[in-house]
Amino acid sequence: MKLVPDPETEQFRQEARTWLEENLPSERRPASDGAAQVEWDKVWQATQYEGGWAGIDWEAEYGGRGLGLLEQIVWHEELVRARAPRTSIFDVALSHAGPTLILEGDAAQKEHYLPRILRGQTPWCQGFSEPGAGSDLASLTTRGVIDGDEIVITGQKIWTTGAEFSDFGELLVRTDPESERHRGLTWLIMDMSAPGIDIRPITSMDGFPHNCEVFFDDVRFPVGNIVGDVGGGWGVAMSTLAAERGTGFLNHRLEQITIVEELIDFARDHDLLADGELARRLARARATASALRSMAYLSMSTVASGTALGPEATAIRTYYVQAQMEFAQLAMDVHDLAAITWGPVSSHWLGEFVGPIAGGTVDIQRNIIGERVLGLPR
Amino acid sequence: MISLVADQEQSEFIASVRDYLTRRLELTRVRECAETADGVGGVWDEYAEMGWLAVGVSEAAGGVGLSIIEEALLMIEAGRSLAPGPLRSTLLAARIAADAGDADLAGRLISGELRAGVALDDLAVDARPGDVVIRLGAAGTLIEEVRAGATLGALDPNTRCLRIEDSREVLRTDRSYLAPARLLAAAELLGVLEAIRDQSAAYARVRVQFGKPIGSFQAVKHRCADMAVAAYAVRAQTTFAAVHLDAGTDDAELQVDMALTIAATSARDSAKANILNHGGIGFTWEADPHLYLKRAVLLGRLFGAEGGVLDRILAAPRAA
Repeated sequence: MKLVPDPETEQFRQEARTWLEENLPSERRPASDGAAQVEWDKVWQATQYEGGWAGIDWEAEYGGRGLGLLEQIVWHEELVRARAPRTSIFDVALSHAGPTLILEGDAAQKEHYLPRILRGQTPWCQGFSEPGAGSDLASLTTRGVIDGDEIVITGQKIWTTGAEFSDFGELLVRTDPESERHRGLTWLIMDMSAPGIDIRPITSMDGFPHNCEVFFDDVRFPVGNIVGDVGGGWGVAMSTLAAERGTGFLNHRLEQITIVEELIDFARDHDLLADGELARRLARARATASALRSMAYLSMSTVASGTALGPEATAIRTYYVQAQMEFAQLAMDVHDLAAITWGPVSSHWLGEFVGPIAGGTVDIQRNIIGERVLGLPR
Repeated sequence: MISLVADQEQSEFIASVRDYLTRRLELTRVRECAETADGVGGVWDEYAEMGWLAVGVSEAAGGVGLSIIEEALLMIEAGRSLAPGPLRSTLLAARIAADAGDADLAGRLISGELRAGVALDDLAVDARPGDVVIRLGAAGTLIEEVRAGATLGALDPNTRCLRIEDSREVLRTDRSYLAPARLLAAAELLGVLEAIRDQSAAYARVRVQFGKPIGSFQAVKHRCADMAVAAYAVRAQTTFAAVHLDAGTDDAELQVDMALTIAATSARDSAKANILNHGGIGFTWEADPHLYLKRAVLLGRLFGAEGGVLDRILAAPRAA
């Protein structure tokens, strides 16, 4: 437990800062047109790749830089400081699908898919949830039948973010019809252009079609798309969750500091701090946002000391989604009447309701912490 | 290089502290101490013998010569065990005396002869007539000897409060010690919070109602999980603040203030939830949950976590 000046890390930080100053997109991301946003996201991702800043934690053979956790935190801190664009349409590819392939994919899969992600060519989506399998993911029923050198998919997925703009997707299906729960599942790569896939966007309460239903009618993929073993899909899906505990969506977490600082600036500029309750909430928000960053440093330190991150790091996400909801509410209260007009504040607030639900509800996260960290019975 | 986990030497230090606390200072003894006149009993001499009171004082001034980080690690463990007595303020007073070159005062504090409490206006927390109290301020710090006072009851059973009637200045410095004081309070609150989390989970695993351990019910399980989440956040922010204060970075004071505010609210809220998790036994004197609640509330107020810290957090400039 120590902080000592570290010229190498500081030099890395300066490098990142300088590069971002020189390379940030000069134009803002298009506001509402999904296709234009995706094109814009691809250009930004490609820019980072060409500058050598894409996938800094991925091995060099896949186009990354193979740097450690500390550099990742520093890079994300600098992204946030520079108000760089989010990964957006590449969220799943960079934070989920990529790490899964790195952990569980075979050499051919890694070689084919990983560089295309980093270069900004192929957004990914995630086909896990189903109408009957939300929090209870292991009850999923979408079928996969091996037919020679193909696997044939029938069923339905839902809440697939960005499906209509993605080239590939992670797909979890039941390949053993006699199996129950988490046994008999298989994880595979779906090509979103395959015949028989029907994508129907769902409009969210902020008015945007962020998520989709995806229907599969005898859709055929080569068996080479299967990641890990047939029947071993649950383990493949869970390996990613473990990888995600420490660094997943680090940029989103660190971004909360900027969100809170901007709220404090706005409140100060508009003489709102005389409202004692609002002032206290802003002060607490500043502390909460700071703790989000400190938790990143704690998990980094744990890994650096040679200890694997255990389920206790699930706390990071639980804390994050609660903080995110509170800050969005705080923004509504700070901006007062803007809350009842249609604009960035109200739209952001509506968009944040997905936080405690997507990727496993915060209630399920609490169950996991209770059972795996504290040893409480199921 | 930044690390928020203990290195080899720090781990050994924590282990030695924990060894004493788990062997010699179980909650039954903490309760026995509470029944003595000063609420502390004989454990103070044991702290002195082990060198705890000298941890942060330089070797030149007769101390152990460790940093504020090790003092914080000591207070985490002390908080976990609800260690009686004004450890946090005596550690601080010894540091203040040593910094000011008052070797005599520092020596009397680290030997255990003299204890230091905290003065809040005319209220002395953890001080008997003859003890000293620290009066903390943003512009300077005073240490005063309490010469006479009226005894008041105290919320925390191991703490004594006095209304100061007569006092004498012992040391004056224009250095502020608010940041180290608040760090030690945050660290102690972290220990209290982690102990609450562990106690609640332990009870929820064994207490059976409706034919099942109550920890299987989501309402109880989620309260326990919230404690674990809070403890992880408070540990992260408190250790982050400790290494920054030790390194003397520009935003160290802000980091400490933020640590104290989340530590104080998290420990208090968890202490309340712990009582609820225990059901009927939870609000009795006989059961332990109230001890954690009372210590958490004391520590939350001692250095201004409830009001002043929030103003300071908001007034602090934006971090670079």
